[in-house]
Amino acid sequence: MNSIRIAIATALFAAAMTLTGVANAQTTGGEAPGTTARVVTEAPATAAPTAEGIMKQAHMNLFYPADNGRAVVHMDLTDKRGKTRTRDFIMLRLDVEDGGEQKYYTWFTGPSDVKRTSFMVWKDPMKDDSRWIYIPALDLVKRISANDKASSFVGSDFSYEDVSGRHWSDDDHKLLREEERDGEMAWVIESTPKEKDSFAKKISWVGKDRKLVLREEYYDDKDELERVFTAAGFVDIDGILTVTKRTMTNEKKKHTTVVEFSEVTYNVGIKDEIFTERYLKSPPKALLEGEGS
Amino acid sequence: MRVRETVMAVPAFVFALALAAPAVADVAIDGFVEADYGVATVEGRPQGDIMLSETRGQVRLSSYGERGDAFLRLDVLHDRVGSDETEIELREGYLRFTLFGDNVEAKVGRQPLTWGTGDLLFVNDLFPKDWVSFFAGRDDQYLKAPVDALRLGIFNLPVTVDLVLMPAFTPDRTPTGERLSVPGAGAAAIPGIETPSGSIEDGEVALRLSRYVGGASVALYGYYGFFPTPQGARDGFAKTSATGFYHPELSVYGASARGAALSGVYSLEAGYYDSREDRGGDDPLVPNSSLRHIAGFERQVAEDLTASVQHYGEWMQDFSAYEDALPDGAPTADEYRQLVTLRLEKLVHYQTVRLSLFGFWSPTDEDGHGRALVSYDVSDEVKISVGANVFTGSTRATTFGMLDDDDNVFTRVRYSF
Repeated sequence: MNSIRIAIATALFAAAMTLTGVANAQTTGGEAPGTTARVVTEAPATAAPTAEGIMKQAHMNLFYPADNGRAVVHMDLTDKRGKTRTRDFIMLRLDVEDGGEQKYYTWFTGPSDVKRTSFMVWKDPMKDDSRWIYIPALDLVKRISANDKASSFVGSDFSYEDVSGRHWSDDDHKLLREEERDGEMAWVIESTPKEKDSFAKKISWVGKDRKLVLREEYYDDKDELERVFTAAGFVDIDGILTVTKRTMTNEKKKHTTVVEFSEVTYNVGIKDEIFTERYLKSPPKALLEGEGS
Repeated sequence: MRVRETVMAVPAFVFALALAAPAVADVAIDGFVEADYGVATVEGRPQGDIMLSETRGQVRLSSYGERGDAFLRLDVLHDRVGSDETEIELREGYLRFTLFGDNVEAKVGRQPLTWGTGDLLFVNDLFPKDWVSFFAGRDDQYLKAPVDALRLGIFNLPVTVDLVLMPAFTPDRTPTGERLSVPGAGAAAIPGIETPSGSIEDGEVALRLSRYVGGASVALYGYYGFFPTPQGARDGFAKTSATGFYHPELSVYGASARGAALSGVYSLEAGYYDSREDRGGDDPLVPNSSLRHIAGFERQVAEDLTASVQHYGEWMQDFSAYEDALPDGAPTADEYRQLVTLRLEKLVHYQTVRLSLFGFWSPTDEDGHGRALVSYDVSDEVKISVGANVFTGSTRATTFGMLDDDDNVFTRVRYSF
């Protein structure tokens, strides 16, 4: 069933890419890559990128930049009374396959009660993640059941799926309109889960220049707005446009999480062996220093 | 004595820092202070009503350098139920560094050690546990008693090798009658437990070979040492003619597997306990050899609600020899002792509130133990916990039945820095 889903998604995507590729060839001539999107959308409707193609590209740009990367992450979790908690960690990512499996390594540096705790995820978009946590005071490596991707990541408004990305093939996508958003034209896309999920509908604004999600609204099955994601702090790092500030607000619970990324580096030579129990128990040098391992 | 160990640890730590230099940027300091208070809910215990009344400070120093890292965890404890003096205990003090390229990692010094797949059940993990802390309501991190050890990890082979050398045997911390009940002991400590001498021949060795197979981690284990809880009894120890408890010699060989199945995590573990002093099984005062196993399954059953179940079995290998050797009228242990556990964990309020229930029940021993905990993270710094431990048993001769009068409720306030 999953493999059928992959096959369909791949076929659709290939078709979409072929169409956009043709459109590019026909309409853009020698223009710089960064400007092609605008030209594409001005092409005849039949040649426009599909909603799924747009969502895939936005997904790839946000969750799969380069082959691996490191970031220092600070989270502020603020409740409706304005009380704020924090989470600080260093994160390493390795793409096993573009758009597919990934491995994440997280090492908490604060607050004090979770300091030196490490966390590892082998993400597989087509099945449950494998997750491990290491609790140093007990020298305990615990494998965590991970069948609910919608559960909260470290008590924040972000779910595991929000952190590592919800695969575009899990939803049906429909291009609603184009409108200006955050100073650029954006595609407005409605996504509905193919199978019953934690939300009933999602509206995304994808910047036509930046090819990144600028805003997402999650609606529940009563069509009420539940959560809002916004991206900000766009910084060019090694030629990759990077979102350094991500905010998720739960409109119903009036709870907000702001995630700020600093020291973002790409292709720093993070190896597959990092994502094993050895390094879960003893943080790799690459993680601490931010240099190649 | 604890203080002396600590005094020795400080120069060791300084040495460790020096070794980790020159890239030693800084030493990070963090820790907590907390107050714990617990009372027994059964009246008239000879030990009194207070189960837990202590103030604790923990300081952690860590430094990550070019060639390794050093870590120190020191507890300053004033325990009004125990010694009623302020004691310093070195919980961790180790140096970790790599050798032979990056292929070997050594971790030397005092450290907690854990392996195996059980959740509060242990087959191949013979590292010392502090059951007194566990039953009396201290924080979970105190279940593991620290060990002085050299741990070597050998990597980049078809299997990862973990070798742990413990030059001196470290026993479990088990109820002695002072805080928790021991049948017949009243409030006095039971008359000493004989521990192995502490010389190198009386050390322990533990080995694990592990690797990932698909998404599962599989491991083989070996252990050479002693029963960690005093299980045997023999005459004439401690220069008296009394019969007393001691730690018989033990070797364990085992295996485990853990992976994903049915949208959850399964775990399987087994170990053969070779009771080296009673291979014939005919000494009723020393445990028989046994085959022990755990099968467990955990899954998320709703958002932020996790449930897990385990089955544990302990199958005595020479039951008829044991039965024949028992004196007439002596209570008989079951040939196949079994235990089931259930855990429920619920996180609410953006995971600031944790509700936890854990139950042990043995259908063969007819005893059980329930643990409940509610904790609330008031802020990043302040955490408040309230909990209860309940014990039941049809006789006082079993693990939990022995503690039938030690039901307790406790509370803890911790400030982390």
